[in-house]
Amino acid sequence: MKLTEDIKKRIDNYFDNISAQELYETAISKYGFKENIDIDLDNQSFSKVGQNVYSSNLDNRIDLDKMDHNTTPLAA
Amino acid sequence: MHQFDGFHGTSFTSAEEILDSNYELSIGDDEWIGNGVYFFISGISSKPGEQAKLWAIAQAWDNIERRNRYKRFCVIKSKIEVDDNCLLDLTSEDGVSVLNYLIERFEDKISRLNKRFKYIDGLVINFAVKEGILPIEVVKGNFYIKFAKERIKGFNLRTPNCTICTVLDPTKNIIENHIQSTGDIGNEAN
Repeated sequence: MKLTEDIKKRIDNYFDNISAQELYETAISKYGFKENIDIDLDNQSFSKVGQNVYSSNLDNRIDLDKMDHNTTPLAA
Repeated sequence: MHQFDGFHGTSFTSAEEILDSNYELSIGDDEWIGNGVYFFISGISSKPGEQAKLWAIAQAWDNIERRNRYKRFCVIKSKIEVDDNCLLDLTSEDGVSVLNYLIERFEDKISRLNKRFKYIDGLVINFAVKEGILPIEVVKGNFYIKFAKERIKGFNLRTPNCTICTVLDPTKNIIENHIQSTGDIGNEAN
């Protein structure tokens, strides 16, 4: 199988004719997709970290309140 | 038309059922490259039959019970036939381009909700097949698979050591089966 015009058209046709909400619900309920709620902090560092709470409907929460507010290198 | 041999390692008891049903009873859920029956095939390794045997031996071990679940293994050699347009070959640039384009369009749509998914190969392939987007019947890919030695010694590389394929509908794409080898786990595991 190659990414021919026909294959591209089949893929485009599907995504052009489904709403984002419908795709989201189908992906989770029928195919077991999971939301990516990770925060990608690789190779980053911050001179200051403010108060920040990340939450999602999956109840995964990262509370940054308790972190050092001065210099917090977060690189892996 | 593409034709190649696939090697499926399992217990001797399961092998008998597989031969009777042409794999109908062994279609599994898997996130590697989609739901189907899995085979070791020639590619990165020139000895897929040997890898199927090592897989059957590794899978026999029950780490909780500390004993083998079955005493005899079996390797079935199957002839797989698939139209070129229905083979998603993820060991090739062509196949990877198809998967990447599919994921790009998927991600583009979902990002409109300010959401992100974890895109796992097998889930995306299952989605593309069952939604009727792509006419996929067989998928090939290179993977790093841990056999008994790798599990015992704690090897966990990223470098692929196997080429595997999954056949989504065995009754359609598997045209011949026969037993390649059998043996006792105890004699082989050491």
